[in-house]
Amino acid sequence: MPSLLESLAQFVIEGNAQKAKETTDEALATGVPVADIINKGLVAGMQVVGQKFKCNEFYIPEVLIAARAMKQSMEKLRPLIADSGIQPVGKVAIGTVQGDLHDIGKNLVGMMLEGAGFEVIDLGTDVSPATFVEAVRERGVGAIGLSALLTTTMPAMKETIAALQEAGYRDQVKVIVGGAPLTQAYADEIGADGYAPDAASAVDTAKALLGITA
Amino acid sequence: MTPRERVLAAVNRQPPDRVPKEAGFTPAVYERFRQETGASDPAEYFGMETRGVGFGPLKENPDYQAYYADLQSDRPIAIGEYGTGNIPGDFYHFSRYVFPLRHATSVQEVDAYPWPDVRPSYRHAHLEQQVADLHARGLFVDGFAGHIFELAWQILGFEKFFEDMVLNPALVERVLDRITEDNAFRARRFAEAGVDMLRVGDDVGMQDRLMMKPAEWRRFLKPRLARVIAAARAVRPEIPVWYHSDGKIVDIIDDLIEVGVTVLNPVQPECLDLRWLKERYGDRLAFWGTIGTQTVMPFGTPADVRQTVREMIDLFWPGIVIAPTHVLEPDVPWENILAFFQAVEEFGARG
Repeated sequence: MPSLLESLAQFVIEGNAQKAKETTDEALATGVPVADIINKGLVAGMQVVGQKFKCNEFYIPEVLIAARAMKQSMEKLRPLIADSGIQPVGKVAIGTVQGDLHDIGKNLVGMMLEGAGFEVIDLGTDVSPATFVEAVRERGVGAIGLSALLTTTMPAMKETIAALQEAGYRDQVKVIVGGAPLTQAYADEIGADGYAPDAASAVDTAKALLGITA
Repeated sequence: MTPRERVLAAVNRQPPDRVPKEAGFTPAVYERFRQETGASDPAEYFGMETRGVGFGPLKENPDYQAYYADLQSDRPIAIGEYGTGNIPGDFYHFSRYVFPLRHATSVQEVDAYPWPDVRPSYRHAHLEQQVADLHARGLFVDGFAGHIFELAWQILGFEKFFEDMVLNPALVERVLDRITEDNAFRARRFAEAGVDMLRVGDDVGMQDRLMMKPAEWRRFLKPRLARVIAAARAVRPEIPVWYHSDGKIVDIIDDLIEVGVTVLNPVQPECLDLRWLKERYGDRLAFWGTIGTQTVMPFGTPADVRQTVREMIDLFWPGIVIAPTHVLEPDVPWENILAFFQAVEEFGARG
C-alpha cells in the first residue's frame, strides 16, 4: 500500500488532477506538514515527469496534464505556505526575449521549474532587456531564463546580458538560455552561464548554477 | 528539360538535367530582394521551377465575433477564414495567436462552430485553367491541402489541444475530423485539376523529438493524413505527395511512407542525420530542403553556403529539390541568399 504522499506523486505523474487534489486535501486533513506535501508529493511527482520527458517516455501532452495536476493541488496549499514558513528552493524569472512571441518552450520550462519547487516569475513574451533587469532589481531572482525560437531573435539574448552588465547586476544573477536554434557554443559566445537543450534539463541547469542540491 | 520535367524527375528520384530549387522569403527579406534586384517576383527572378495554386477566399467569412466577445486587445485582431485570431507583434512578421474555441469542452460546441464552407465552386472552379496556364509555361504546379494539427491547435489553443488529447479526446478528434474533411476536399480538387504534386504538412517535431508520443501521432493524426492523401490518390494514383514537418520526426517516417508520402520537407540538418536518412529512405523518398536555416543560412559565410549546397547535392542526387529549410528570416545575409542560388546553378548540373 503506497503512502498518501506516494499516491499524490503518482497522481501528478498520471496527470490525474482530481485525485491529486483529493489526496492533497486528505493529507492536509490528516496533519501531514505542508512542506512534506509539496516536496514528497508534488515535487517528487514532477521530478519523475521530468525524468520521463528527458528519456522520451513523456511528451508534451503528459507534461502538461502533470503540471496541471500539480498546479491545482498547489492552489490548495498556497494559502498555507506563508504561515508554514516554507521557502522556494530558488527564484527564477523567465521570458521570451524581445521581438519573439513564441512561448511554448518557455511555458514548459516554467512548469518544470515550478515542479521542482522554484518560485517562477513569468515575464511573458517579447520581454525587453530592461524588464529582465527590473526583475533582477525588484524581485531578487537568482537566475533568469531567456527563450528564443528563431535565429532572428537570438541577438536579444546578448543585448539582455549586456543590459544586466550595464545596470551592474550581472554578477548577482545566473543567465540560462534555451530554444530550438540555441547551442552551448552560442551560450558561451554571448556569455550566458548555462544552456538547456530541453525543459527538464533547464531545472538541472538552474539547480547546478544556483548550488541547489535538493 | 522544362522546369516541370525537372522537378517531376527529382521528386520521382530520376536524374533531372539540373537540381531544382526553391526558397521562401519573409517580408523583410522580400523588401531587400526588391531593393537589390529591382525585380518584384523572386520565383521569376531566380528561376524557381514550382508554382502553387489554391482555393479562392469565401465571399464572406463566417461571423466569429461571439468567440472574441470576452477578449480585450488594444490592437485589432485579424480573424482568419477558420476563425483563428492573430494580433500583430512589434517585430517583423511575428504575431500572437488567439484561439476561438479556447473555452470549448463539448463536441456540441465544435459542431455549433460556424465552420467555413470550402465547397462552393467559385472557390475552386478556376483551378483547372490555372494549372493548364502554368503547365503551358512549362512550370511545375502544386497545391497545399492545408494543415490538420496546426489548424486544430490554432482553433483550440496549443496547451488545450495537448491536454485534451488525454483529458477530452472526443473534442480534439471532432475538430480534427472537421478539418480533415476540408483538406480531403481540397486534395481531391487539386488532383482533378491536374497539379503535379500534393502538399500536406503539420509541424509535429521539436528540435530533438516529436511533440507527442509516436503512438499519439498514430492515433490522432496518421489516419487523417492518410484520408487526405487517399482523396487525391483516388483521382491520381501516382501523384507525388510532399509532407512538411520541422524538427526531428524520425519516429514517424515509416508511417508517412506507409500512408503515401513520397517527398520529405524540410529535412532540417540540425535535427536529422542526413546520411542515415538517405541510406535508409533514399529508395522511397525524395528530399526537399536540407539547407539549414538555424545554421548555415544566417550564420555561415557565402563560402559555407556554397560548400553546403554542393554537399547536399552530392548526398541526395538525384532525389533532391534543394531549398533552405524555412522561409528566410531577416537575419539571413543577402550575400548568403545569392550564394545559395549561385551554388545551385554551379553544382546542380549533374544530369
